Amino acid sequence: MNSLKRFREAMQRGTPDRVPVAPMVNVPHASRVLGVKPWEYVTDNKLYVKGQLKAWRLYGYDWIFNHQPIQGITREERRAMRVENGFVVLPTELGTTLKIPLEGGPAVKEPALKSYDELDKLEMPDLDKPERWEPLKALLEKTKGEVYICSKVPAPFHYAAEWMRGMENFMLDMITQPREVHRLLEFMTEVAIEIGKRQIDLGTHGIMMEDPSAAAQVISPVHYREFAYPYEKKVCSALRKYGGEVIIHICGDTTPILEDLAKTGASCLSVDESVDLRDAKRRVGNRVALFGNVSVDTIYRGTRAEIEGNVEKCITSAGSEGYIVSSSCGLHAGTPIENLKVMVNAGKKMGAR
Amino acid sequence: MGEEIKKAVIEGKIYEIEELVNAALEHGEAANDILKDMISGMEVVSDLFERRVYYVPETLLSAHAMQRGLDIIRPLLNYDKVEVQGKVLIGTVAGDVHDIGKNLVSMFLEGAGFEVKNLGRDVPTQVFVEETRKYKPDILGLSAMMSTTIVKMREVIEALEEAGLRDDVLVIIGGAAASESYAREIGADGYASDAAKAVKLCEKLMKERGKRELVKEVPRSHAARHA
Ligand SMILES: [Zn+2]
Repeated sequence: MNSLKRFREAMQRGTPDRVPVAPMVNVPHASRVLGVKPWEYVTDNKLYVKGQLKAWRLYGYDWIFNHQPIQGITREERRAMRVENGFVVLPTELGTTLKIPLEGGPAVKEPALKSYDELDKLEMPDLDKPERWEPLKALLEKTKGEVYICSKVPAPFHYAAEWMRGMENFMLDMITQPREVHRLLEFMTEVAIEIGKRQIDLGTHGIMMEDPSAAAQVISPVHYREFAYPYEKKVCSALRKYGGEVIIHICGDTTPILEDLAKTGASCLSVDESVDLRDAKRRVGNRVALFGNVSVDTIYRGTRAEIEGNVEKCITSAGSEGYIVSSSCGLHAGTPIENLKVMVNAGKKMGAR
Repeated sequence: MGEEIKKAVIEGKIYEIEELVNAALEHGEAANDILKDMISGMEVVSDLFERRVYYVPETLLSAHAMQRGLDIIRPLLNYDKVEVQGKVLIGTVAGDVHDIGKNLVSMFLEGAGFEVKNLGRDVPTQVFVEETRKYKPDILGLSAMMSTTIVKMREVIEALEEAGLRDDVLVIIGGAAASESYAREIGADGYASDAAKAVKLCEKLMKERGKRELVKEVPRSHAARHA
């Protein structure tokens, strides 16, 4: 069984020859593997592909997480890039300006919307530009069906909060102007679905939607059900109907909303370390596959024995049916390559039938 | 009136609070009493937050309501009579543009009666040192959300030592990238995992600091007597 078949089998809640291993490799980690600065990696489509392939070959995990938020960087975006007091400043076509420290991962500098009046003028980023799809195409071409390629779509709630309004504004907007918030979320849902459909057309094997702003420590289950869930559901069901399969990830203790997550139409839930995999399996295992949740702290600073112990605990709790062993969240920047090797190898060994 | 103002803070009535505060002032209530009402409202909020009844949106709303009330009474406060718990300088370290958690801590501390100076985000190490020298805080709070920027916390502590200021200020850390063990590793005085815990930590540290001063003072006075 190759990685692609193995991963697909697990996503369909089957039992492959061994549990697939799929750590959530992100911009800081892949650029570290490639030996370039995170900003170089994320703003150059060729370097991006190179880094992804290098990390995949180095670790031999079963997926490639195609993690650029609105996919490849276009020529116009690259042209608008500039350096300002030790930061790379990158205006994106969603209207958000990103700020990337010379040594760290990207963060939002200027959210796109100062007020909701600007919402009517907002346009879908141009998805016809060929550069957007260069990375996905190259990854599919170079890996020739060997490995599961999972592409990111921007989760409506998270991107509305972090990219469009800024977290603090958005949190207040939820209470003071909920109607406008819903209008923005509708727009972001369209963006996500459109990006997802293009990825499916090009042949991506799966889709990842990370919604960290909807984290369980941040908003209540009530707000989750009003503002995050309906749009997650719209995206997941639309993409499922279109022939895609979605993994959904929310940080923090999602124990109270597991049943909701299972009803979004996602094929697989990626859960953080505070979720008990055995309990999750019992509650939603008949609807979705599970993905997780080896502590990113342990992978970052644990000993070999601690990392292996954590992997073993995950596999014993989740079982080998419909389960993919992964990190609990995106890897910490600075995670040593040796430690991630320990995690991946332990997963391969302990997840074998 | 006092109960109403307290309630307005708890419920985050950002539109009504200004009117309530103005009415209370017209009624002849002292700004200091209004401040007390708002602080007792924020105490309730901080408790609700800790018990996971309130989450970030509800808590932010209350904090903003308090800010609006505070803006009106600030010029009228009789500072001799305000029981300031302590002075806190707070900021997110260089290279890190995350703000929201640190702002919550800052607003909670103000709500608990601390005087707070918020330096914002992406604050260079040297600025922390200069501001510590100028503002003379009791406590310096450092925030970092990313594992790439957390190293800056150690840098700030080392720079304070070099500048000879480390003994004058208690350093506490927080944010997604920080942890109890990291605080110990870099020699910080404390760590808090959320805004409510940060207030408790600052209160505890201020009490201990009082004791520490006493410990220093007593031998000094003894020595003076035998000089
Ligand atoms: Zn996460």
